[in-house]
Amino acid sequence: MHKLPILFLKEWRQLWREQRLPALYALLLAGCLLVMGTTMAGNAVESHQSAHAADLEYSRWLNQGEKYAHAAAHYGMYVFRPVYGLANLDPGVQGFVGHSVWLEAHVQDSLIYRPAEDSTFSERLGSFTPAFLLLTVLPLFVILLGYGSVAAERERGTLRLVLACTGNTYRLMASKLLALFTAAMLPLLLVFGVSIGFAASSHLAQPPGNTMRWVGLFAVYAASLAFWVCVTLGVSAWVRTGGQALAALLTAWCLFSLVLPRATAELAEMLRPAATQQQLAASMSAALGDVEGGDREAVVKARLLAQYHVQSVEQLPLNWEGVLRNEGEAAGDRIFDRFWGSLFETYREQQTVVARLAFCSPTLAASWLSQRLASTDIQAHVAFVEAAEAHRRLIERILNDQIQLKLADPSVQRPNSGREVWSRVPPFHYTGAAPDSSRARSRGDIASVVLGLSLQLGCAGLLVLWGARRLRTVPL
Amino acid sequence: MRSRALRLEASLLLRQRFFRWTLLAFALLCSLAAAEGLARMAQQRHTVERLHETEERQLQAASDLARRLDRQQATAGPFRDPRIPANFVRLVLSDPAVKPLLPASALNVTQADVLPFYFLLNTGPSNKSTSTYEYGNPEIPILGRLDLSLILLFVLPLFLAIAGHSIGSFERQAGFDSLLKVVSPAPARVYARRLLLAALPLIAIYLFVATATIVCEAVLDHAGAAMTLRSGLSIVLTACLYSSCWLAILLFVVRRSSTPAAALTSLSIIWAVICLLVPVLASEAAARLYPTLPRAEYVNRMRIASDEAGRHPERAARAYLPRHTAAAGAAAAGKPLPAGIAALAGAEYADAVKRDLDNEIGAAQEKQRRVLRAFAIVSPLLLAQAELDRLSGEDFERQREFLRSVHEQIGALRMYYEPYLADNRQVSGAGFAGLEDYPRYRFPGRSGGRWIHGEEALIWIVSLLAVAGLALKPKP
Repeated sequence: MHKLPILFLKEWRQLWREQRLPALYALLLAGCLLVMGTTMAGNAVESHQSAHAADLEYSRWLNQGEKYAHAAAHYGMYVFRPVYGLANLDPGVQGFVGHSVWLEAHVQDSLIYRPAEDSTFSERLGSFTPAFLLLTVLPLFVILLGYGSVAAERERGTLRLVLACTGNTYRLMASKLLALFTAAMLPLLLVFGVSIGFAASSHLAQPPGNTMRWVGLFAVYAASLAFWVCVTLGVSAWVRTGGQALAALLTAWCLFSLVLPRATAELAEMLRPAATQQQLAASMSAALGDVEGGDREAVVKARLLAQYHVQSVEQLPLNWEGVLRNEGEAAGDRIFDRFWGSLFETYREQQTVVARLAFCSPTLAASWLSQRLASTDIQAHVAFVEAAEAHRRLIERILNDQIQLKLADPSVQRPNSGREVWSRVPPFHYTGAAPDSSRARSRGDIASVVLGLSLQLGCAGLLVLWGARRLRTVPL
Repeated sequence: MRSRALRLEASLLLRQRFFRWTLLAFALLCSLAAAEGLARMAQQRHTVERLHETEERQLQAASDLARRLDRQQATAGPFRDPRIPANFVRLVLSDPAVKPLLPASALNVTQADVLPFYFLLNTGPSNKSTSTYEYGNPEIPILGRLDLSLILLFVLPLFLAIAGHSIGSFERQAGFDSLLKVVSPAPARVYARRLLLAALPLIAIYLFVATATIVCEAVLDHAGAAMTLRSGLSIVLTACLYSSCWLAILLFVVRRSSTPAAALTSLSIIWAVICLLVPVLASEAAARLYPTLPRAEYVNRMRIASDEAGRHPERAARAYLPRHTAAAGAAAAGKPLPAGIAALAGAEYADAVKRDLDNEIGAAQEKQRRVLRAFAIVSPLLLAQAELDRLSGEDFERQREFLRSVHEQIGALRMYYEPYLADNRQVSGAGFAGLEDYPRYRFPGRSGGRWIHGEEALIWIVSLLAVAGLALKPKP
């Protein structure tokens, strides 16, 4: 048993002696520092600017002056999406969804101003973030470092010698596996160390269960790396030459990291197509038109007259305009819930399709889990949109309740309200907690992705075992 | 003798199972990417058709209503209230402004996810109507699409490296190097010939699929033959120049590597530097040197402008009236300014601030692009990417042209409604029935692909010659 550490040290020394490792480390380190520096700086600026703008916006709301409450509802309020500390590692969809939304009367607006639109560089390969570096580029580093682990020894003729010393191919493979995994883990530890340190020292928001999320993220990235380490060693043991091993591994990398994640996302979109902006706008406007033209007013009037046992709306203890406004908002909200809810449901279904297909590619599975854990996936975006909409409805309710109050002087048609009413609207504070229903639904998807990743890891482990067995059976 | 040798080399290459598999895999990837591009363009065309249909329906409904109101029979249609003024219609009717597709658009669909290709316009402040975007799943642009530009820029160089890495180093490793020198006075030419034999089928597959996609798209979109031919030639030229850069690098690396594995390792590192590291470095350098205005600040300044227009409508009117005769006439009559005109004046006031902010962002982006072009000397990918964006009509200039024309269209719509608003005219009445004069959006900008810019082509050719010269230089 004591041979394993000696073999591990031998492999590690051998890796260092080859000039590839320092060169690759230098390249990777440059990439890590560049990507992390830019992501963190960008997030810090965005977070600070958004917090500042949100403060100004709330102060503008409070100081909008005396006006009719419905005019204040049309004045509205902008709210801004928070940036989480975990986004330093995986910004997820943040660059591709709007960063603020206007909360105004009658309408549930969509988020506006996507950071990607302001970029002059088209990110055709995807966003270059620490997550991309760890899930896509680091495997390339593992391949370049480890493709010759066994194949090159075989080519040089030293494999027979090493096997004679160890006497056990499994032990040899285990030592090579450990050495390669350690070499690959160093950049991962560096990225995590810096990210955690920065997140702890900065004022970025923390989603619920922050520590467990960091642990989960580390496990996901380590599992993805372990897969590539095993595949690299397995292929290196299977083929005859280093060149063949490298060509096969590069093809596998191209397939798993570039092609399959994209193809799966496209497939999900094809199977569960989301409504376009035009379709949603047309159907929503038709539905709102039906509400406007319906006999809602008569129904509400009959109900209230019966409830208060009076003969006309003037005798109601409520202001009729306020009642109508509240009813109008409620009817509109039901339509928004139906259409926006259906769009978000399609997103969820697309995510489920991707989750079911996650066993195809470790990059896909790890990326799915990474975004989920970092709270930067589409579900987190939907949760923010829903929280913002809930705040809009709160504003409308507070203002319409004010309009609904029966006035002492019936000659005043539209009384002005002031700061006292505006201050009843609290500042928007988003905690980042996903609704329970969404959490329950996503459990199945998470289990599916974790299972897929474990399956891939198991297959990669088997490949190493078969490689070790092949070393025993096939003449060297 | 030379052609016989060439035939022999070709037959040797085709006999390799690995090479045949590489060609097959590449052809499959290209076909998938082409299918994806064509499907996305079909989707865009479908959306545009629906947009125009909706617009026609809305205009027809408005026109019918106007006629019906003339006969005092308004009972149905989307505008059920017979007293709806033009001030309401101007906000309800939406005019779609669409950026037209180009024959090469299907090659480059990733950018279309980020840059909006249509807006729904009305006469309200343009901030809202020009900040929306398509509701597709935002997780897709994170990865980028599997399109033909991804294949050309990232996948083709990898496949060239995999197919051509062993053309010379294998002989050197096997000890036949000196034999080759005896057979041929210039071994570099032998390597170059082999490299071309290995690379040309891959490049030919790409060009075949890309030109076929352009022709399909041109037929579906009824594009002119001249435009199709120009796009086809441009993509051939771009692909040939980009591939030539990689072939020169390949030849250089292969000639100086001792083993095929060493050659492939070096090529992978060069690929990572040229395709991943330098573009990100360039993009970040550009963003740091010339940062664009943060969107939170943008929201803040827009809010200040709209507040000002709301609090001091006379300022907005003062700026608006001198440029608008119909509105000025209404104001000169001594009556208070009609509400509709006041709203238009407020919208124009806010738009003027938006224009300044957009110009500020545009100026920073222009400077960023200059920085990116400076980096093109190091990475041919940046040049090829810019060319593909230009060819597919997804470039920065065309997008700015689109946005400019959208703002002009909003101005035209306001001018159309102005006489009705100035007279406080209702939808009913003979005047509004003249919807035939309704201003339709026409994209004024470039409708065809453009040739590579002179200075960029020069950079390419010089760098290509330099690398090829180094590669073909006899080794001591």
